[in-house]
Amino acid sequence: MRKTSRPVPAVDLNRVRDHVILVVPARPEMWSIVRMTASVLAARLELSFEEVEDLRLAVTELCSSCAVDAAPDATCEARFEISPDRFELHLEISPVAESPSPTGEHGILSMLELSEQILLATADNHVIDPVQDGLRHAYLCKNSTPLALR
Amino acid sequence: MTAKGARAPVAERLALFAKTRDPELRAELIEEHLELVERLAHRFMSRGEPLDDLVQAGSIGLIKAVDRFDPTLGYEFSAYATTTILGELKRHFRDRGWSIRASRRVQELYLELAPTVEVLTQRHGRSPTIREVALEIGTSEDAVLEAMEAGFGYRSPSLDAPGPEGGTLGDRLGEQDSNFELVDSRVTIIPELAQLPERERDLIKMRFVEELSQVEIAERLGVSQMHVSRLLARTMASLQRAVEEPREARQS
Repeated sequence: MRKTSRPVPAVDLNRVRDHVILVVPARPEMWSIVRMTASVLAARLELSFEEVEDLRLAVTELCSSCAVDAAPDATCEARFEISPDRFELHLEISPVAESPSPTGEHGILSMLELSEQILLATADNHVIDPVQDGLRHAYLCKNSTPLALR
Repeated sequence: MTAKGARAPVAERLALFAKTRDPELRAELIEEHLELVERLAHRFMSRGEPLDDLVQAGSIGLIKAVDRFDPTLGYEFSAYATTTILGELKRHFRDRGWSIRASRRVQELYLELAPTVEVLTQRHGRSPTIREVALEIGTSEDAVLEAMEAGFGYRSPSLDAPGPEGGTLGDRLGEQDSNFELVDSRVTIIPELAQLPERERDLIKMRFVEELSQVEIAERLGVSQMHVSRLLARTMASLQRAVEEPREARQS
């Protein structure tokens, strides 16, 4: 590498926050792309094998729950925010119907309740917002504990 | 068993069980939450593991959850149980190293993951990072992640969404399995199979030889799952006709 005499501004690595944005059609077969991207980024954070496995379940649940009532041509924008101690994912799916979802034993409500339990078990925090102006936003985060403290 | 309406709330009975360790109450609490096990087990059905095996593995998690739950910590039991049940299901898949549909290299790597993770967990006293697993196996982090993805036995919950004709997509996928009976007698239908157009033969091979799900076939062919469903139904019908016609001809 060439040396330069110009002083390089100091970068505090503890404050670096990387953003990665991925846009895919909002369909189940696309979740593997979101999941794979999530795991590559999570591996950089040195999340444990177990935590990466959990994160993959959580990402799949969040994508699927968020895409309920999505139009066939809906798109899913996945925005990953990676800081040294945290993995965050914001999902925005649109267009999504605002009509109330059906309920019942096999209905959406029970499906979302199960997703809720799975997200509680696999992510550190998550939110699935109600549809607003045809767009549904959801969020999850997974904290990373420094190796020395594990 | 006590009538459902007469039961005290779950939280109260869990608190009572934590104090008394009453085996009847334990059995009741386990039985009451078996549905949670079944529904979580359904999520892991895309790799062809028998549901009974998955439910059995998940039930171990449920039993552990009932036995270990500490109501004084203020957590919801369902969240705690979901964690332990998922843990057992993940362990089940990891330990079994079931046949994954990927290149031999990825399959071999996948099979190395479980023992490596176990060795490293014991060595470090914590779950290893992906980098540590890759270093131990002597491969790249990307390869480890690729193997994890190939072995991801998790079914998208979208399959549980109700379809336009009622029931769920998962239910409709399950119905196709009755066609296995026909293909089970494949020795007798080999001549009929040979008469099918190449595309339909490929479809039958993917569904019944490689045992891919309709969703997986759809992904491979780049078409929708509904399209695969229709193609399969049509192909199976023509195969059925091909099998029956000579039989009817012989009878007449």
